[in-house]
Amino acid sequence: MVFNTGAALLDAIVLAVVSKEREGTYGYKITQDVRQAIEVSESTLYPVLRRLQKDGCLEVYDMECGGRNRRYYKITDSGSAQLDLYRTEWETYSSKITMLFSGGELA
Amino acid sequence: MKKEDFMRRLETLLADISEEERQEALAYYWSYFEDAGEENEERILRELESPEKVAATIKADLKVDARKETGAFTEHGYEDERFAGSSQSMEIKKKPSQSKGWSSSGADENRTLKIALIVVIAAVTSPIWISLLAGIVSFIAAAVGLAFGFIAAAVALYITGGVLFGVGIGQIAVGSIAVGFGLVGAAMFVWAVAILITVFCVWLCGKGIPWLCRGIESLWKKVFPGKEKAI
Repeated sequence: MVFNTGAALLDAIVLAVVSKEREGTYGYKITQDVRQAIEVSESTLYPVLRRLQKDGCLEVYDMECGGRNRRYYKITDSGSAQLDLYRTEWETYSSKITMLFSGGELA
Repeated sequence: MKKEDFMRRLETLLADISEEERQEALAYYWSYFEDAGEENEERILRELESPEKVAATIKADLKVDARKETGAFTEHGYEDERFAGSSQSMEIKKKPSQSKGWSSSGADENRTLKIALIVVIAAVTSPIWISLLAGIVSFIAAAVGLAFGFIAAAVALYITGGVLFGVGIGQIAVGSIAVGFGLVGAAMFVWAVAILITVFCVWLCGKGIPWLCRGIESLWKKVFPGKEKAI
């Protein structure tokens, strides 16, 4: 892709992907979901998930699945708050850029 | 390379991080492979490139965490979480851009590193800048010596002129008028040279020295740009 995805945007995308699953979701699925929107390598998301977990935006729990433990990620309240903040900021940011691109005047 | 080999290699490479972080990372990638299924194993191994690259990604992020940064440069300027309270900052958590090296956070740490680096560079390059400094100092000393030389020459010429003039007047009065006029003439010539040197000295003090100073100053600025701002 032409445009770089910054750390904040990547966080926002991951939080959005995880928040869609009420019961939580797991690393492989998160990567595949994020890939529907942006290009990321298989190794990109582990540090992001780990950091979001440390920051208290995500919580982790293990659940038995097919005879083995699968690690699930679930969004926390503070993660949801953070995601809302990202959404608002993105709204402002993207609408301004879109306005500029389409040749309109900024308010 | 099979996933088992990949994981073994990754575990070895992560030997120098904490037990907790290592287990977390290994658990993640184990379940990643298992969730992807056998049919995707080869593709994932290819996309992960190498255990070395994965280990580097994990460690790069840990390093940033360990730096305990307190503030970050964001699009709203410098922000510090400790003082921001509940402000609606986009960059509540500071983090590095993904695998793109360091973010601009951790300014304190950076500053210390920078100073240490400057000291090391100064020590390594000391043969160069010490000789350069010595050159500048000797140049200034030479200029000062030259100025003193000119002043001394002018004074000597004034005295010589005075003596010649005195002797010349004496000759006109009591001896050969021709010799007397010759001596007075010589005195006038000597004084003229002395006055020229004086004028040159005055010019040197008024214009030349300030020009020299400005020259050195601008040279300094070229060698150490933005020095004043840094302080």
